[in-house]
Amino acid sequence: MINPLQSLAQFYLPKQASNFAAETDFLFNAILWISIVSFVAIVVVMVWFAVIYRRRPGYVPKPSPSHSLGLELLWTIGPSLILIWIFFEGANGYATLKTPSNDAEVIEVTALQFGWQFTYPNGEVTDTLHLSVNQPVRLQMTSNDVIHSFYVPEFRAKMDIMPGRKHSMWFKPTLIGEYKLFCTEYCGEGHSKMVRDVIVHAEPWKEMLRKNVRWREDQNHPVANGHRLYKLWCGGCHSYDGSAKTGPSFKGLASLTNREFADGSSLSFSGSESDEWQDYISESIRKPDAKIVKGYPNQMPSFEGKLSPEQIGYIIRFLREVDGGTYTEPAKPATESEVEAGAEAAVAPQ
Amino acid sequence: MATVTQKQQLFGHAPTNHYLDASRGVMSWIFTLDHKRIAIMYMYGVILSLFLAGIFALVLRLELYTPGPWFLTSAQYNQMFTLHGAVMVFLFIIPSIPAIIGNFVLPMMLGAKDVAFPRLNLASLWLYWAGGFFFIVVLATSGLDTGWTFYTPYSTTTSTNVIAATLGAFILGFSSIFTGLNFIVTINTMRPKGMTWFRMPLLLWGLYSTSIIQVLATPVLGITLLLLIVERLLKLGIFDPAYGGDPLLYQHFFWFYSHPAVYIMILPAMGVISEMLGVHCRKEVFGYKFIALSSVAIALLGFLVWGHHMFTSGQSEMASLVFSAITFSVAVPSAIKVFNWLCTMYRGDINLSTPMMYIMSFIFLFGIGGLTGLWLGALSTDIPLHDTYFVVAHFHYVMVGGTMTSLLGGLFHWWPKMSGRMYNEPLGKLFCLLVFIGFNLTFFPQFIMGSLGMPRRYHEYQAVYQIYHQLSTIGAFTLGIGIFGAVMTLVYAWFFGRKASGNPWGAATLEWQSSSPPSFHNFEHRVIVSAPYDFSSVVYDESVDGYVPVVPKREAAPAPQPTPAPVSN
Repeated sequence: MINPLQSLAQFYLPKQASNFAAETDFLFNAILWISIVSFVAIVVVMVWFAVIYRRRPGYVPKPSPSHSLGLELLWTIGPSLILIWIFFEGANGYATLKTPSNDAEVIEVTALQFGWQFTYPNGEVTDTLHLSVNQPVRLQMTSNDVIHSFYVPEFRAKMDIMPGRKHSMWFKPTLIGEYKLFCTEYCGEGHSKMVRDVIVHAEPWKEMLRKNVRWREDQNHPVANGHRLYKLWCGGCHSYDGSAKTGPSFKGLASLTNREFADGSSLSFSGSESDEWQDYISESIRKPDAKIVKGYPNQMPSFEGKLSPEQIGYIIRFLREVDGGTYTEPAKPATESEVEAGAEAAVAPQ
Repeated sequence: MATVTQKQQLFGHAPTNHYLDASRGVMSWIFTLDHKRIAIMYMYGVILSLFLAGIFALVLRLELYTPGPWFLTSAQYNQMFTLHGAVMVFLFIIPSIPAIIGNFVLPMMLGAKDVAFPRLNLASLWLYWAGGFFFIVVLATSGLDTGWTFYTPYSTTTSTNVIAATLGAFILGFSSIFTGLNFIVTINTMRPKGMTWFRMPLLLWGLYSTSIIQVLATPVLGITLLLLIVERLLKLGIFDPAYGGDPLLYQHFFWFYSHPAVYIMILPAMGVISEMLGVHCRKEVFGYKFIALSSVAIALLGFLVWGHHMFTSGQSEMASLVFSAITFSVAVPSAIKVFNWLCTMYRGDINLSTPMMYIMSFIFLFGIGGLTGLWLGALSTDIPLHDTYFVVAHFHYVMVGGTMTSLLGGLFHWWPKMSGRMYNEPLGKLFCLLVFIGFNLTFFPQFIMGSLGMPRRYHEYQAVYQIYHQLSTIGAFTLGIGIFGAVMTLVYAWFFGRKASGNPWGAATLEWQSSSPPSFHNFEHRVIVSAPYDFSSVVYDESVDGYVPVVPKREAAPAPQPTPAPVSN
């Protein structure tokens, strides 16, 4: 049976895609109807009084009491009872929200300016959150820099992520589909770009992981590895098409001949194969505050220990590829020897 | 009996020798100790801040007309919303009603010449200017992009001018504390004979409750901002985990002030509404004691609910439960006020003037603002709504729909007293209507996009939310025109309005027993104290085109009672 109130709710509430949605929405709608009834009553009475008791020639107001203890107690106690009910309903829903299911799978979440990284139990990392329908998950969340907040409207779930703390939340996705993950704690320039996809798949957990989140660096082209690392780590602040973001764009970085820094010094390069250039890139990733590009804030966190030398090498290969401002996915290397050759070429200068 | 000329001098329009022309020159204003002139100078600053922050708001709304970036970069957008919030909160809404209407009216309602500490009052004004100066420094240098809340660790790491802004807010805090202290002492010590606590006008109850919060809560903000400055300058770990601090501590400190500050903003507004409602319905305010005590109750309970800003922050679950429960207890006194206001209108003699229009607009908008608080106080529904446009709409309904509406209404109500002139009634009503329509068009769609999941402080957004943003932008410009028109109506009246008598509304509170505008010393005669809403205590007098107090019948002193013998033990 279709509930008419339920179908009305689609105009002001997102789809119900998690185990919390129905309970939360019931309270939302209950408060909505309580509010509509009391608000309409207040406004009707107000306008009605303003019309019939307006000052006009020949109108003499009748005397009326200036207080009435009974009436005042009524509208102290009446609303109080309703409020107590709302409080308990809200607390009940909150209790569900805070009691993780025993069979929840753990995904580690790292929030950073301005992107997300999801690490699955098999060690794989993605920048899009992949979930399996009806599989409860628990997110173990940390932040790399400032406060962020994990919010998927369809799940009715939200949790702030503070640096220096571990935050945990859980939910069970119940509806297959694609949703948006928003950062809802203001985190700086790219805050509104910290939006990623959440995909709830029909496949069971293990199969879903194998199909969607598996990425073997040794089976992929080094440039594709670089692109993936770029999306995970760099894309929040650096573009490669020349558009303005918090940090300098990667467009033209490989063909750079001279770089000026905020402290007045500068560096010259003779191409992206030169040691100077590769050292500079490697240093900028490991110790970003050593050299600040002129005109940009000193805001980048250090990635020392977070990226392996091989991975920095992949990023360097990627930088050379996007020097012109566009990226084309390289064809997958066909043979094992090609993979080996690619990986060898990608190892960063020590 | 007083002659007609005497009557006109005491209770009519004062042609000369009033506070505005008592002395001349810029210095006579900058160094004045007169509470009325201080109120007028506050008004310049507050209205200027309203326009400045209002322009920021219109720029934001225009930019949000399209989902992608239009004419602002993300960095510029972030600066705009930060400055809109910071200027509105610290320079407009916190000082607004206490500093303008409170300063002007409070001593006069007590039949007094001035506040208890006139020099301290001037110091508050100077501090307000000094604080404002720091915000101008912010604008002229690298700006500010932290949001008005200055959440750490972003505020310790951003390269914008956080120190100037927090220093400005720190200084403004002192301005607020001094005003609060002054009002508390004035109300405690300077009430005239016969004015007991429960014969005080309700505005004074509102201002008194506000002052308690200002004095108790503002120092916490001062300390918090100072610690933030210390952390930025000396890298001392207090709030930033990079140095061993805790960002949650900052949020507790910040909201310990900033939630009570919400009541600094709304309690005076409720006082203004209660006050005007009695006058314009010409009827004793219904349930006086409940309204008076509910202000005090809100002020005290308001100290215990700060954690409801942090339900998603990772504070302990038990803390969230307790804060949610106490939050609902604050809703009760607010509801009492609304019902009592309605009952005041029952069988009233309702004068449908511009202030009355603002009162009804207030009840409508505050009704929505208050009721939408229920979703945010309940834990499970707050979780998805927190930090979305639903919250933005909620606090604008309370702060703008509540406080700003009541400030405008209050200015229209007391304008004859402040300026000695009447405003144009049809124009006043027209712009009130425009403000009402524009306001609802701006903020109602924000509730819907908020419950659909649109996060706040977003420069770019998903295209599905565009229609709500477009309605909101159109509404914002309507609202802007309405506010500008209302202020211009008042400015026009100041210079060209019809001359007003001392008591054009027939109000029974003491400030109306002076001429309009009042003389330098406020009253040229001994004030006659009656109950604040006993409207039989004033009668219409044609010779002054306004109301004059009824002089109580004098009777011979009763025969002296025999004094009882002192009890000795």
